[in-house]
Amino acid sequence: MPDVFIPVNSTPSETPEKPEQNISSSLPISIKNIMSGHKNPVYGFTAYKELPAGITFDTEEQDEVILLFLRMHFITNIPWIAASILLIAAPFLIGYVATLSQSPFAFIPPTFILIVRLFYYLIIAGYIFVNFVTWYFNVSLITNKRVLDVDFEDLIYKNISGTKLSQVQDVSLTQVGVIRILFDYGDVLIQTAAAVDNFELKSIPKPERVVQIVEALLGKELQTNVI
Amino acid sequence: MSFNTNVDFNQFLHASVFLKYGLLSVIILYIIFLFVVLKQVRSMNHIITQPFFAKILTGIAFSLLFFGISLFAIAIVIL
Repeated sequence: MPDVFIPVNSTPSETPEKPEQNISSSLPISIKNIMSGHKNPVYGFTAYKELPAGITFDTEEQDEVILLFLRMHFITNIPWIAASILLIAAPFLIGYVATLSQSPFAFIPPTFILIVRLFYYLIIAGYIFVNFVTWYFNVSLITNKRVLDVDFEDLIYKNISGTKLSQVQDVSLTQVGVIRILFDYGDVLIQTAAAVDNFELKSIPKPERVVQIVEALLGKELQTNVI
Repeated sequence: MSFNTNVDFNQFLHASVFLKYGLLSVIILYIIFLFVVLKQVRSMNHIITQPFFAKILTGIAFSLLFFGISLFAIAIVIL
């Protein structure tokens, strides 16, 4: 007698787990020659990682492997970090100067000054957080199938663009200036077919390595423009 | 709140009202900004996912918003 009711022992999860992939088998032969087969963990301040572990994106396909995870070099955050330190120190400096001379705002009560000071530090905390988040979410991914670029600026501009590797025509790098050469970061331009926008990966670490990997995916030779 | 009245009365009255409501208005605007920050962080965490750091960033955004709202409440009570 056939079973009419078959009990379901396990309920399917909301987002099905991606099966553990044999990464080596998913990689093109040209990539196997230049990359190790194991995945590497990505931390909060990571700006460059080959075969990153624990990273997913919403349009990721089942057999897609992220080869490169890229952000702007952390050194590019120095200007706003320096500005934040100055802004944090500013009230102490102003307070010190105010003790030396008669303040024109002496009639303002201390409770009001306390609220203003707390609000000032909240603004600085927001400034630091927004700048960090802007850097953190500006991510470029190169997978075994496509190039993906996530642009996130000033909280109001969000652009996610991607192109298949078959549409990539050329890749080149530009590294201008002493600081960029010293810290080994630069811009990588990925040129695509006319109908699709070009991808400019700005201030990314190890640009020569990135170009080498993309060239390996495309089967071309390295083209550099180091000034 | 006790203002130092060792100044011209009109100046005192104008300054106290202007500063109080001016500050409260700016705090409200900043709370709206922090709410937008929180929404955008949550939205971006769906696009690129790093589970552990997504929770940390969302937590920080929540804390800033909570601190902003608390500051507004304290400002109303004190001022």
